Amino acid sequence: MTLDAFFGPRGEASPAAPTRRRLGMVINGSLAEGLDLKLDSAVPIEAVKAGQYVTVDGERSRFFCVVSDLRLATTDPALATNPPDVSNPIIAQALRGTGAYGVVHVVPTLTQGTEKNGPVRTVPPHYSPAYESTQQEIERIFGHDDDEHLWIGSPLDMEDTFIRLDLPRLTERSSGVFGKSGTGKTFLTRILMAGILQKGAAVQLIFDMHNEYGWMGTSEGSTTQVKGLKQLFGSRVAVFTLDEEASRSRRVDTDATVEIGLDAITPEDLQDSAEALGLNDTQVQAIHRLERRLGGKSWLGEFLAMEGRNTLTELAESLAEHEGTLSALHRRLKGLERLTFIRPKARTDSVKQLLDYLERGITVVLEFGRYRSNGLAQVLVANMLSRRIYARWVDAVEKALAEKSKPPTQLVITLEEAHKFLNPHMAGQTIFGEIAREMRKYNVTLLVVDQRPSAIDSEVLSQIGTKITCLLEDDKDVSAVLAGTPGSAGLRGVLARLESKQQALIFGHAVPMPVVVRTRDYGSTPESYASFGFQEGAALARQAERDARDLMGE
Amino acid sequence: MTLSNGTVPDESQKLGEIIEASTVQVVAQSYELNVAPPFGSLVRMPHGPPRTSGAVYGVVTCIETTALDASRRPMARGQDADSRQAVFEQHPQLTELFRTHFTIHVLGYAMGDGIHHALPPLPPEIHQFVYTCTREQVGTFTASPGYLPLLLAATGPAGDEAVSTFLRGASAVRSPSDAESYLVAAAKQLIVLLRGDATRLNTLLGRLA
Repeated sequence: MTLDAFFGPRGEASPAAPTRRRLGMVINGSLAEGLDLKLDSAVPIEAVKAGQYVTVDGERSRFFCVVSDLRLATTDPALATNPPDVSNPIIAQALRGTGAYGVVHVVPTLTQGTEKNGPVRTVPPHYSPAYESTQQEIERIFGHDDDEHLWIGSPLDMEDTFIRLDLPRLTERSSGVFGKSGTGKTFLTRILMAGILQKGAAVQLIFDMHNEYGWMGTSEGSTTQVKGLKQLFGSRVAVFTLDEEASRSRRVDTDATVEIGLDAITPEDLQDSAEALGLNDTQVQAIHRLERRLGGKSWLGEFLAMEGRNTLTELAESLAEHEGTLSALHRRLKGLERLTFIRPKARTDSVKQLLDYLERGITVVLEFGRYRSNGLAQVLVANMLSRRIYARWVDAVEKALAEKSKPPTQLVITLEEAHKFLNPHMAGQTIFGEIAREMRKYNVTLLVVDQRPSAIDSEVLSQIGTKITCLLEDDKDVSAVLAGTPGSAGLRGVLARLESKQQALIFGHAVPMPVVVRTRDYGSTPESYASFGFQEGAALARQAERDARDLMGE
Repeated sequence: MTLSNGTVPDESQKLGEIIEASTVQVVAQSYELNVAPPFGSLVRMPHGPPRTSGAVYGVVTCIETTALDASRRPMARGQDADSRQAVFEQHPQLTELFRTHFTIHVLGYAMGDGIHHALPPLPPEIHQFVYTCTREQVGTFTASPGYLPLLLAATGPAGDEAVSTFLRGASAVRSPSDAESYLVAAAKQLIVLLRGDATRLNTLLGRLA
């Protein structure tokens, strides 16, 4: 495949590099509080906006700054109280930039040396010139269009400039997409998934609770449907479903139906789902005893099959367990039988199947079908699968370390409604809490999607490397997302000023500095698919022909 | 010959001769009664060795006509005359009893290597001639705003009148679009130089525009 075909049309910068536009010079400042720039008289103050990027040329390095405040100043207080006749254009023009001038307060966020970018540890000298940052400068900071960078959007007011995420850094630590309902979380998540797939940065397991990612999904604010990952990436994506019927009625081309045998469920799995099952600690302990007593793999099946009070009483006696505990446990676990994907014995080993796909580097989307709002199904399945996959990855990594061979591919598990799995009560027990904390050691990370970050365990939240945040209004949520981030006071203001659609604040591990982006397009035009490497009809046929020729060595 | 205020002749005219000189200020006597370079205009006084282009430049800050003999007060003579002209015809000696003087504040000098907006090393010589400047000479002298500090310091009895007249005159030798940008640039400089003296600045800016 040619690179052009792969990346699609981009509308990159015109070949002629634009000249830098001078804004003013540094007149004041400190490392802690930022720099004051005096605006040149030729620059109207209204042309400078908060959030804009400014480059200051120091003597030894360039300082990349963000405008955080604008102020009007006069050289002489008398000029402010007793102003000259500014209705005269000559006087007005003369005063601008001399007696009365604009001061732009900027916060340096990065220094650009000759080789690489670094944190800011000094300030530029007095009277250093400041320029509007050019597209090239911004793109140099956020990376170029290559296999390791994902174009996520553009800075506000700079539509031709591309902000890119560093994919290896994005996937090597857990990341989070937050935002209140309807602000485009799903949209952003879809872009991230498609980008990770397109660039092959990691293999993904996507718990698609609301059936939005694998096949057709809905686009926010419109009734049109957008293509899912399977449609864009074909054989590189497999769609698993928990509910074959629902998938069929949505005409989804599924690769496998997940079935879970009662014999495959371990006490640990039930413990992970204790909250969803409504089990208390005593009941959880009873489960472990039950398993030891009934033994083997069929313990759960046997227990559920028990009928009548006497049988349970006998069992309780032999376990030295309170009878009430056991009968309550029995009642609650019976709830499992209402889940159609749970069978006494599964026809296929879904976990193995899933692992096979993942190990071959194929991204798996698991649709929940009718269980879109069934907490028990979501928690049970996600925990069960992830626990087994994680164990496999841990094994593989340890083996690779021992044998000094290649470790397994990076795996990213996408988790929607993450607070169900990672709330302070659950995070200590479930596998996801462990993945989030153990992080990158075993090449498994999480992509957490949630609308109430404050409901997620703070320890887990602090381990999230890259945070992509749409509009959040609740103070608790804002504080939770920004906790531990340097300069969070400034970011708080930015977060509150985001528009409710297609705008997001990105900060953390995958970007060199916090940035507000207008997210790129996904789904509104055919070009937006093409930019993820999607080809339709004729183009696909031509590509197939070329591929065939390549394959046959002609 | 009379020159109207604010206009600059195309040709340099010799109008007087230095009778008192310092590095800062020069007093010249006009050759003709009531004729002098206009108030606030730029004048040129040759300076240095003969036949070189050296010159001292200055701004006319005061023009006065007085009796030759300071101890004798002139008398009114025209009670029966029809016009001022008639007075002079009846008393032809009058032209010899009065002299016109003008005061020049030095703004800079020219030597072989160009124009300096600074005081000359030596004052202009006594009996040196005083010439009006052509449009071109005014344009060259005011091309950069370095003369403004000396101009602001050159307060004659009329205060800043000379400053604003000088600047208006210098803008008049330029094309309309250049004239505006010249005035804006000069005004910017004034704002910087007169920092802390908003009253003077406001007055000057008001006169300029």
